[in-house]
Amino acid sequence: MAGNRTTKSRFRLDEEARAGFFFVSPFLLGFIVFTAGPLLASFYFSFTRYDVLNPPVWRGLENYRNMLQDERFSKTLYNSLYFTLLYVPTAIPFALGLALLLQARVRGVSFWRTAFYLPEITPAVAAGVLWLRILSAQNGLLNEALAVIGINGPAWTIDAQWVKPAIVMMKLWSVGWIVVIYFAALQQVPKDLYEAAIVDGANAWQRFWRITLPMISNVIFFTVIMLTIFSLNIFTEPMVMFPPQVFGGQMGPQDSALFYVLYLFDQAFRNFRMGYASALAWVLFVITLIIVTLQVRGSRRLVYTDSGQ
Amino acid sequence: MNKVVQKQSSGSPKYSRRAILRGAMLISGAYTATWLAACQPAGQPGAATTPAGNSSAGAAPAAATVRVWGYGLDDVRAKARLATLQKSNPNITVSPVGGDLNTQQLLTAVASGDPPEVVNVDRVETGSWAGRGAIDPIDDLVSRDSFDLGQFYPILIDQVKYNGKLYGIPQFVNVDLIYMNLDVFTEVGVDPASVDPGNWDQLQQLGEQLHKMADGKVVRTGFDTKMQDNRLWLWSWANGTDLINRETNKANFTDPKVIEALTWGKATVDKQGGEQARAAFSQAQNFFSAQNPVLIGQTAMTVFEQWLIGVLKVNPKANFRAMLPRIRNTQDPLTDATGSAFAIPRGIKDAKRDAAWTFIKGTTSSDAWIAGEQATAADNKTNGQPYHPTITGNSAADQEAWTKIYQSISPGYDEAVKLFPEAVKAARYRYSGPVAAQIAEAMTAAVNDALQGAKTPEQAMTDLQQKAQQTIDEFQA
Repeated sequence: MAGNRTTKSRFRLDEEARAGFFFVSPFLLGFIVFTAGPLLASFYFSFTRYDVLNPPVWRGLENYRNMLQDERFSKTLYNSLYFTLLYVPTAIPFALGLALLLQARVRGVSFWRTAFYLPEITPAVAAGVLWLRILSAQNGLLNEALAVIGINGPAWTIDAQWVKPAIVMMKLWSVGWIVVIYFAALQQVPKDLYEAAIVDGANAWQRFWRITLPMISNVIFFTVIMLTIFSLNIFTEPMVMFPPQVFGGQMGPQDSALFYVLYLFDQAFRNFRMGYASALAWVLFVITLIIVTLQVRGSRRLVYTDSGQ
Repeated sequence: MNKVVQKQSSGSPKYSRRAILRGAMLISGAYTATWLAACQPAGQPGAATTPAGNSSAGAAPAAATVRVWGYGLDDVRAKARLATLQKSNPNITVSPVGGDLNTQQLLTAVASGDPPEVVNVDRVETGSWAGRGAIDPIDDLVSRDSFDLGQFYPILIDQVKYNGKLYGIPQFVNVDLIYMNLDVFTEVGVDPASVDPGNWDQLQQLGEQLHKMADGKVVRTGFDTKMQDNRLWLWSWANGTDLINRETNKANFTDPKVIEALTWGKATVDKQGGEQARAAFSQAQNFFSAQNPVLIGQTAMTVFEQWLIGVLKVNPKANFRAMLPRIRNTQDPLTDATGSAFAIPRGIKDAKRDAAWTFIKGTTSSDAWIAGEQATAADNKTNGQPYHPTITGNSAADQEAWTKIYQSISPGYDEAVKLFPEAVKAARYRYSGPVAAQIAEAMTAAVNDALQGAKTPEQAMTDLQQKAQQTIDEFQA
């Protein structure tokens, strides 16, 4: 009896826990119905031939095997990893630099703080059109500016070698959300640390390197993970800038802007290959999982946490 | 971590490594897999059947709203066509969703059992939709009402058939013409009358002669074959072959005549600065305006659909000429016909199907098309613009529009309109089987790889052949 009572009490929720579950129930229900269910269904579909219109037919590992022979699959994987490797290490210091600048107590700082966030709320289509104008190889603003200082700019949107750097530039324009996160983190760094460092004779660089950076390292780590995930899932910008109609069915010259999720979407909704698209989704999930796990492991010596590590 | 930090840790944001990892995994998983999977069919979908329903022959349908996707009612022509239908069927109202048909939307609507009553599909994709049972055959309706298919161009009716069954009624037609800006010809000293579209050597030479470069950039395209834009079909036909054997369902991309056409297309653009320079120039152009490249001489000669005259007419005095492409080394005209067709999705039955059919019949009739053209001409006149005719699927309506409603604008426009009847006679159509979309995608990728020099034409076509045949075989399996 005593044992039973112990078991029962272990699983009984106290009032606080019940209230907690009640309050998060809208999310939990939504998650189960709209996320967990479809997620599991897509896992099943990944082993089937499924065109959405007819019942799925079990094909075992066929979809996964087909990926190994799919030239465009390897191209999209390469494009997405290349973009992620280029964008994440560029965006972090860029956004941090902006956040540091926005901390400065100068006239009109409120305007600048707003201005740097504006691209974030600019519609992606408008931004895409704008950047096509800026990056145009024929008469783009960027190349015209480079020409003033004697540099013959590349064909950003036409040359397959330069398409991904061009998209990185465009994405850097809209790092407002990261800037906001860094800005908030910077506000949280205790001022007395800086005062003590000044008393100890630390210069600006030493204060940044030994106080600011460690104190916000956990936030930087968070943004590294988020940016990695978002970069691997990039969709809207290349779709707007390099629609297939412009390059005769290709996403940019030689499919240089064909990123993983674009290809996945194309397979699902244009080529009626939902089973293959589901398999692509799960492969991307596993790739993301591996990358993020490696990042988490690698971060243990670099990220400062409350526990004093 | 250094000593300064370890002294004071309160006030820093709190994120444990475990929490970050958990959150990241969740977001990642949700991002990549969630939206893919919510497309399970609602009912028990199977092979397409003919939903005969129990409608009576020729009976007027009860009051109904017909939802039409991929077809807007925001222009005068469409409104007049609908008004003609509603004169005899006042009980029909239409709820349109304009713009291109959203395939994702249609897929999920059919799968969930709630599709629109009518869709306006690209005729090339008829087989893709029909082969998967997304649209239903309409032969029973045609027979029931003794509907006269003879009023439509035969080639268009062939294009909307799949496995011998009719899946749609043709709408607009687009045919390729070759446009020339005569001012550029005069400037360069070439007699436009000497241009022979069947002489590929001459076309290539003209491209080189007419193009212009400045500072290493193209500032005028000489001759744009549009090979980069799906015209491997046109040039392969012109060279005496086809890309897919329609009877055997065998891909034919490694046919020496196909490779020869692509090689010629690449050489033609290479002689004008190369594909990259052409694309850069094209990207900087403003097509739908008075700055249209053909209009202002940025393009001397190009393959383009006949509807271009609707863009050019912002300048009624535009000095241009249009010709039909020809079969190589002959005087025989040839063109590529594309366009759309109305179809009825799977799951539309009984009264809804009757209403859909009434809408399709009514808006594609000669009367409806003629009313549309007359209304467009009147509206153009009110706005001080000249009227230019289109090509519909309905031959009787076209005759009326081309010969009676159209009023001369200038010799260039008159000549172009005179080509329309010949064009629909000489037209061929692209493969519209169940894997047409996949093959088109693979083909454009391969052609562009060749044009941009990433692969030789032989390599590109060999790879494409394997991929296209595999796609066809997979579907048949």
